[in-house]
Amino acid sequence: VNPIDELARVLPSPPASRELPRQQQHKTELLTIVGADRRRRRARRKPAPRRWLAPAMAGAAVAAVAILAVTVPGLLSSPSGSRSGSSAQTGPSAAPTAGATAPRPGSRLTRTLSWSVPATRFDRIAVDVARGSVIVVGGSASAAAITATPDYAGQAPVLSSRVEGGTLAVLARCPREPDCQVSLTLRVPAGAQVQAASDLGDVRVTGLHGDVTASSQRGRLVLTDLSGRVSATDALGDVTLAGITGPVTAQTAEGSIKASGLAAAQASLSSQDGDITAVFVVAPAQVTASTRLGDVAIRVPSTVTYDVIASTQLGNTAISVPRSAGSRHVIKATSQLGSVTVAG
Amino acid sequence: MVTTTGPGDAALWQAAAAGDHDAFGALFDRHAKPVYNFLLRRTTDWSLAEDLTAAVFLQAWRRRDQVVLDGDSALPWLLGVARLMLRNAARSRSRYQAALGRAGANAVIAGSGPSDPADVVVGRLDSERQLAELRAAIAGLPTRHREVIELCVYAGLDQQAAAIALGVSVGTVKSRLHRARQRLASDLRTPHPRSAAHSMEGL
Repeated sequence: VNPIDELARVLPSPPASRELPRQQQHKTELLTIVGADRRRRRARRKPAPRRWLAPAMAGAAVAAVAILAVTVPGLLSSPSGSRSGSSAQTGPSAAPTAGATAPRPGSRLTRTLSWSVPATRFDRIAVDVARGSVIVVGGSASAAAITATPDYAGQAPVLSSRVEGGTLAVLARCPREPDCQVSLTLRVPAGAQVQAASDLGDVRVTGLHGDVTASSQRGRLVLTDLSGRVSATDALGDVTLAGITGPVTAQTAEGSIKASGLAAAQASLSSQDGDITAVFVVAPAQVTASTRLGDVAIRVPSTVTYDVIASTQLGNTAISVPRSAGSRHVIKATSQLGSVTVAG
Repeated sequence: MVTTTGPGDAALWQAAAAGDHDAFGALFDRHAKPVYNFLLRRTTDWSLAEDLTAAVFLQAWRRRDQVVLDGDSALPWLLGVARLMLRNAARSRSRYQAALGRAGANAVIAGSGPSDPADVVVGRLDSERQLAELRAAIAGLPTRHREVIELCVYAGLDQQAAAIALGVSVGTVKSRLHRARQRLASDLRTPHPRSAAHSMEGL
């Protein structure tokens, strides 16, 4: 008798399998990160014949021709090619990739554009897209490699990239049309300081040891593997933190905050309406978590004692970590209506 | 077990390990769904499962030289990576499920962005209930038994594949399945009164 079948008979049936939401977006993000590795290895690699890709490539070629046919008139009418005299701007000479041209300030983004800026010219990066998503991936690259992808109907978005006072600033703006967004992906030196902002889209930042400031109004913030100071501010979206080792501040009005694998000494997490969950892998010195409507759940290593100050007006409080008043490890956890859990 | 078109996992993985972007993308497309559903059953948290799915593949990429194929499938090994990734978080989260109490409601809020049609939300509520029932049914079992049930019954792995995912011998999988069945049989004779109430929480 097959024991698996026997078990299946007595257990409840699971919900139907579901597709991964936003699979293409996740794939793009994943391959962006993987791409950093690939560049280092490419020199050693002998390209293997990939016959199975032929049909896909043919399809892609057809699609590319179709896209070109649509976008070429737009390209011709937009000011392009003329090199600006200002040394502060990122020009074609800065780009190692053949054909990569940095957008001049105020130029229209009609198709996907990739360019790069040598790391010698900046140590800070400021990215701001009003509508669309931002992905920033730290790597050992000696340049910032940037890809901007527009998605619009009607007027094309406006993009600019320039370096000023050691800051590489990449800005994208949409004209009034609602059907317009720009997705930005940046692969940057791991030591860079990064500010990334989007009003409507998600902001994802990973693999940096410089300080990171991320903000969004309605999108999600996903910040992972960061060792600098981290600051995350959202209004309606959730904040996800993982593998943060520097001091971290996160706040959102309506979203929730989920933090895992934290090794931060200081963490300040606040929400108005959402839940706060934080799992520390290293005993923190100072944790403040507060929400109005949601629940607070904090998990810390039981290897030390904590000075826990937990309060809630309506919810339950459950503290199961070793406690001692006056400990160097302080946890303040409050919720007005939700429950508060601090566990070891 | 997995219907495949094009090159097998072994060929794709070899190409990916040699630095082939597209091959790794093809592996992601092929296995993202089962990995996501595995994470979903384990976490009962839609947004967490979604975030972790990409993280599993990134971890797999970093450990791509260590892949163990089951026949021509990388899925058991990928689920093993997912399991290791969850192990710390799951220990805490499973204890938190009761405390949080609102897992069901959260999941719906997390997914109910402006672009989510209502039927998706209703579908999620249904799934939430089923996930809660499933969790309640196996909640009392030790982790090693829950894992073998998760992999063999719900993820559809056979005993050989589960052994790869768990990093143990096939014999160990067999004995864990056997004990899990004994445990469940005795638990079901004396149903836990909290199970039913539990599954309704947050709905």
